[in-house]
Amino acid sequence: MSDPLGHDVVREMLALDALDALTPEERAALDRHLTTCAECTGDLATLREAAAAIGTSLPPRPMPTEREAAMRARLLARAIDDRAGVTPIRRKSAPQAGASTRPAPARPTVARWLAAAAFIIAIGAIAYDISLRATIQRLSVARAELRDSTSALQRRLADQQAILDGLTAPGVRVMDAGATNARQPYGRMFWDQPTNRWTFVAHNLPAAAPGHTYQLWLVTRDQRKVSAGTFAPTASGSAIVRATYALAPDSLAAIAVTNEPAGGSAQPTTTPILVGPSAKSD
Amino acid sequence: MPNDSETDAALVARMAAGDEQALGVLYDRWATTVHTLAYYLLGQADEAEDAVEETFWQAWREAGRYDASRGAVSTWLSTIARSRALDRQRARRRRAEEPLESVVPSSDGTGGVAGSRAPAANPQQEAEASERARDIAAALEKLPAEQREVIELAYFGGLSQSEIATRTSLPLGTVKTRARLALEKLRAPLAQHREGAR
Repeated sequence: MSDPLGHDVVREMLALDALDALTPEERAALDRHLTTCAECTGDLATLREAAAAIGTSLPPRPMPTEREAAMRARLLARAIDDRAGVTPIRRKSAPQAGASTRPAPARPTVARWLAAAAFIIAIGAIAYDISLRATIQRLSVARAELRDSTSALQRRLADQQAILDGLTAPGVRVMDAGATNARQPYGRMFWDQPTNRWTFVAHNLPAAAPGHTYQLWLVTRDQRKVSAGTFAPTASGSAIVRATYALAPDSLAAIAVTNEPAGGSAQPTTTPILVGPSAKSD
Repeated sequence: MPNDSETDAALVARMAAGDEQALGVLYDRWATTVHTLAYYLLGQADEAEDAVEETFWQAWREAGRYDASRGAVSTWLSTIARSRALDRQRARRRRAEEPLESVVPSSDGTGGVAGSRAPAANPQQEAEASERARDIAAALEKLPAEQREVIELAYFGGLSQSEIATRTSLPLGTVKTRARLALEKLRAPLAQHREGAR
């Protein structure tokens, strides 16, 4: 197998491969080198571990308990189905009546007829057992889906309630963000300080350019720009963005919305299309 | 029968042999970590949960192909989860139909957030995993902004090296160097934890 790249070139590419940032062609060339280079293979394994550690170092965000349990039940039911589909269920036959170490008689006897009947009954019992298990699995999945559906409705209700709370709670501070151009998009941030919940409502926003998204920022007095998330407006130009972020009451200087490349940016890279002054108490 | 002290690799071996109970134990250990990553990448509860289910289902189907020499089970699961979440992220961008409500993570959105995740088989492993996560978060925080930007665009944005070069107006060589330097700095605390575990 040819190695068109060479060790030094591949070594430079390993970190990007660990981050899954190579094209398929680059990856194929790299793979050819890896088949003959233990050093690069070992290096790549530890770089992959480092890349994966980025994901495992995030602050934990568990699923709601009921939904997590429902998903577990669903996965196990699917796995049982999958296993049954791939590997035929094998069971030992029921012991044959009258079985012994003696040689079988040459002609059918009552014992052999009984054994045959027992065998047929055993096959029937196995078939019934498989059918019963399939029914139980289906019911288990249906129950999980029902819980899922109920949880989804409860979550939606809770979301709506959270929006309402974020707008109407006694500790909410409101700040407006006006446009810096003539298009006059308009935004209003509701900061529920006791719960650190932020609800941003915007109108008249034009659609973000292809490959771009809007990003909401909290600008602190020491000029830190904290991302509160990316969002896209509806066809009518409206958007609601919700976030939870703890900020000291007097540390907010402004809010801003910028147009960023899809996926968002670590820091603002464009002039804000919406920028709001420091919060004022309602 | 799986037990609390069984290693992740042993669970995956059981899964490969068709033991769905092992899938359940692996799920109990890692569901929150996988969900955290998926949610961070997608910002939407429903989509994140779908990605979690896809991740564990893929792990079940491909358990026989898991190769311990290429990384720990946690690395393998994170790679699958990130891949499934990025697929959804890209599909969403293609459809350009972001929902009205864009629920975002509670972090500062830069990836360098302090926190911990401790999925593990027992309290001691849990504490070690938690400490490891804290150390990685600290190492991320300490990265120079230009190195951090490159790995964030790759890891969280799913961008290729060429796309990163275009986005940052950097030569490809610089992108490669920054990515390597950043990951080497993240690798150091991991090596220390491995040494400490021996």
